[in-house]
Amino acid sequence: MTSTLKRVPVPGEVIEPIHKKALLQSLSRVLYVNEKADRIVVITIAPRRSKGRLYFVGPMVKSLSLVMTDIDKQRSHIKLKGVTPRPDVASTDVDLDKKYLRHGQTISNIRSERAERYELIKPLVEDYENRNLLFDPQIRQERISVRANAVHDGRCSLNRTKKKITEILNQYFSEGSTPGAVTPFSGAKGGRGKERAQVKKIGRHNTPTKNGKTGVGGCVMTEANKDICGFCWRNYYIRGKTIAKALRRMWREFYSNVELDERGRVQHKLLPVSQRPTRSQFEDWGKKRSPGHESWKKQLTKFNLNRLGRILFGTSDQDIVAVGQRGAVDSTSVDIEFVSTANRLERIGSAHRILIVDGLYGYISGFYLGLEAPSAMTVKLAFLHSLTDKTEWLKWLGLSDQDPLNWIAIRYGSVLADNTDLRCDAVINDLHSIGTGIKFVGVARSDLNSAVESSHHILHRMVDHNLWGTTHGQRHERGEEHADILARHTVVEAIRETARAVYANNTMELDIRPTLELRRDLVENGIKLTRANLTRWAISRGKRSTSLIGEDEARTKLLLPIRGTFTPHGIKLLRSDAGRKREFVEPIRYISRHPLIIERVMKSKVERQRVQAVSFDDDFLHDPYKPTEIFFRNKFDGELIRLELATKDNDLPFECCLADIVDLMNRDALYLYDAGTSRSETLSELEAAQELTKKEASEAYQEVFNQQEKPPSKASLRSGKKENREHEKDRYQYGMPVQTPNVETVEAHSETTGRPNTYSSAEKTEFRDVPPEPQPSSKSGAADESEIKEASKGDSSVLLAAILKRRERANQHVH
Amino acid sequence: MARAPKVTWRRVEESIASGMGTGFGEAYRPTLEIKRWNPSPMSVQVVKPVPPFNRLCHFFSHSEWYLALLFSWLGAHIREQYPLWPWPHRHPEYSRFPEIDATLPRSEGMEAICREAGIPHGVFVGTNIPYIWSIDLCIFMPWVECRSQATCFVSVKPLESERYLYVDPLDRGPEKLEAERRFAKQLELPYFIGDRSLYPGPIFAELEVLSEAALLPTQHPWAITLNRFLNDYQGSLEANPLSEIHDRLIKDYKASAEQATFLQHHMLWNQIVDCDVSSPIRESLPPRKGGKALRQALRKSLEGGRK
Repeated sequence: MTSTLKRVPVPGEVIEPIHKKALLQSLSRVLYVNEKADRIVVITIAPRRSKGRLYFVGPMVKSLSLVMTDIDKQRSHIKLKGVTPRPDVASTDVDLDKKYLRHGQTISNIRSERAERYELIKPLVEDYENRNLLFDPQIRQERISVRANAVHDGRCSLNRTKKKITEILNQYFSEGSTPGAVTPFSGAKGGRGKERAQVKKIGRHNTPTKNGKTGVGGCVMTEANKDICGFCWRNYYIRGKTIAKALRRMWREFYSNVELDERGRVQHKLLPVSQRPTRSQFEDWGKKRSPGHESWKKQLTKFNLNRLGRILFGTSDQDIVAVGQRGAVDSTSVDIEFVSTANRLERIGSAHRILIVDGLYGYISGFYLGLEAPSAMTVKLAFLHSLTDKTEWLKWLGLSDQDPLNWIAIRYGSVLADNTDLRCDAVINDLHSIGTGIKFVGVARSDLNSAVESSHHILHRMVDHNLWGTTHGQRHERGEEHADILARHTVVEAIRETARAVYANNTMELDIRPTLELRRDLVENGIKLTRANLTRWAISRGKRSTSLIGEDEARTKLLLPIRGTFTPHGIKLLRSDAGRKREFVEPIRYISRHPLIIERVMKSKVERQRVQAVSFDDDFLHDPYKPTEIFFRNKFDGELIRLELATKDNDLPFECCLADIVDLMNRDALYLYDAGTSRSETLSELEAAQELTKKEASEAYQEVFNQQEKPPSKASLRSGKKENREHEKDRYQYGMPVQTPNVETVEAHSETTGRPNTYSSAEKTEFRDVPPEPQPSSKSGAADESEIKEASKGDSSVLLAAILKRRERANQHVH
Repeated sequence: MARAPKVTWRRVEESIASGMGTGFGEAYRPTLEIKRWNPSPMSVQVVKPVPPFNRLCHFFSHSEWYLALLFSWLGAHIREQYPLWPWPHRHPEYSRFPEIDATLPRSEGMEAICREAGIPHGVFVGTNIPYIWSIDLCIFMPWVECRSQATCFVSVKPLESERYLYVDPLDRGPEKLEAERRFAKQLELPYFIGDRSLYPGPIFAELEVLSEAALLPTQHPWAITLNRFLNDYQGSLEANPLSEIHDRLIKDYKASAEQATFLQHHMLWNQIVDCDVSSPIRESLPPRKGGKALRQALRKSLEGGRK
């Protein structure tokens, strides 16, 4: 950090040159300032190095005005933060001991040396005024001489003692004028030496050399050779490979010539042994050039090594601050074997589950569970589920005890996914249309997608492993009952149980330590810390990913296309399982008062004769999780028109999904087939009876007609209609012919009951007007009689059937 | 996993004809796209639009995505995976402003640059077709007055990585960076190497949330609500907690919760409310000032990235 401070520096501050023409050419510490005398005493902070010797230069006296001019002209500046001292300078005695104490010592060498050095200069520097006098070179020399004479013990020359005191004093001033400033540079001792460049093979001789062969002494390890060994150690000596294999691969890759054999194939011809590293060289230099590649790491796979072999001060979700900012998607197969919904004895194998989890609190907002393998369609269904209001769906599943408000619809800004189901253009484009981006984690790095992976684990344990037919996510072991034998559940039941578990996961209290904010807003207001509550809380504070594409609009973009037809009664859906045949999903239809829908419906009503039925077909959009509505997109302006369900069976939409309705129709088809047959038989009998009546009437008429002398004219037939009518009326009772019983039937009835026939002769006359019935053959006639008699004991419908049968036979006889 | 498509001259020509590596803004198409056949063993790849455009952008690492997001917050237009053609070609800004086209320098192409630097250029595997290099981010800075200098190249590389500890005979990273630098130099454009670790961590998390609300078309109904709100309260916004913006929009302007959140985020992204996004945003407190200054400082550092 640079400073623009332009005041007189004070002792202890540091002046740093920032221009090559600065008066002070190196970082200097101010020791003394005298403005009146225009003097400033400074000392260079950094030690100098000469011929392997490290030393500090002495204090320098400079003109204060010149230094200030430098500061004014920004050639140098005052470092406000000073200079960080050497660690050993700032260390206490205890710290030094902790760092440098050797085995058997009570006081470390460096500590005792520091104390000794300070003792040497202590009389000179412990008094502040005396210390300032040392900045005068002449006085300094005098005092150093006095002190040298005082401590001189004859072990070294006086001059050497003087020089030693001078050096310690310089260091004392340079490193901050504290007792710790005289700490020696022992810490720098014993450092790693410079690696020697090899010019010839070192180490013991190999066998050929020992036996007098020349030129086969072994490989000289140049820098390039060492680097190659390091590279190969890191990359070739991995899990599943031995050192020998890694060595041979290194030889092939780096120490070989590529040649073509007679068949044109590439062959690696290894260089002579003396030109490639030996195994010991490979091991030695491989390890040396690969710090951090310890043996334990070699036991791990490359991916695990990437994951574990480094320190991360954070988590993959630490940069998530809002709901919907980043979700996580993944699919897995459920650990259950299922049976068919139609017949529980039919095994259908396992199913797939796709989960969508919000990264902020691990809230599971939606899922797909079904037989379809993960694909663009199922991923879309999962996202649709995440966005859909679940009220209807819960009712359909029979989970009315769940509060739909705890199923929070979330639209995601981006989602984390692995490189399987979502890595295709269809999904990328579909999710882009709802404003959701995708982040693909690295290959086999599903640990970066931990939110959804742990949710998978939770659901496996909460649902899959507790139901019939579970595989427990493990391979079958001998002696154990097969999961498919134990299978009892249908997919619908699995969906219900998964929904139950997801709800429990989202609404169960979390054992987390609440933050102060959480405590204030939730805990103290008696609100439980559940994933659902936390998510709602974040949303209420505006911590959510938003977009101009609203949730409803996003949902409509994920709706699935379905074929339907405009009919006079509304829109009927076409069955997808009927092939080319056009069959409606009959029990339900969809209606809307939108002008466009009314126009299309009207067309289907009035233009049916002119066009083919197919022309009224169109594509609609539907949400499998909300069957009470479908949408129609106006192709001209893109408007999305909502159509509502209309059905006589009010329970149907909440009890059945579309597939169930189709299934129901298939089952109903048998009943309808039988009903149709019965209907046509009944009608046929009716028409047969009518034909008989017509024939009898016609014959009676003809008989009367023939009795006339002269055929009457049409006018005479039509005349006197009114009188005839009055005359006829007189013959009737209540204006209608009163029913009289059939003589035979009455006789039969009186025989069976034992009561006399009470009908009048006039009534009998009515029946006598009817032409006599032809006599059937004695055999069939007798049979009929017995049938009628028998039937008259039972109910009237059987009796009627018997009479009709007899008439029919009579009719056949006439013909 | 799907295989990479075989590269032929015909395919290259077709890709170029279809607009690969060309166009500006919404019409730009990157050279490399995230497909089924090119997953990364290390990086998190991101497919998502970056404001102010709605086209899908393809970032091959999370750092690229974050830096693109940061630069777009500054107002820059991002072209990711920008091609460095092997043959001589025009300046990246050619035809954006036709009046300066004649003054823009041309590039000799990466092949010539590599030859000069003694770096093997490389070919598509199994062919003799020269490889088409791409640079991570090509940034257009609309705020720079000198239009020929308003472009900048950014190569996104981790500044700290374990692999830097070792000498890798097969690692071409430094060579590539040098070639990219020379390329930028030839076109007289700023070039620098960036990494997300250069910037404070929370800024990316906040920008990622706010970016969803970066754009609000003026004819959109919500824009009318925003204008009404700003007319009434703009002077006092920075003195009150951010949650008040949200609450007022719901209570006084009958906005839905989603709409209120969107408008709040829109104001923060566009710094209508001066708020420092480099630290976590606290709704219960008045916004910390410094967002505008930060944006200005980052713009300057981006402009000063010349080598």
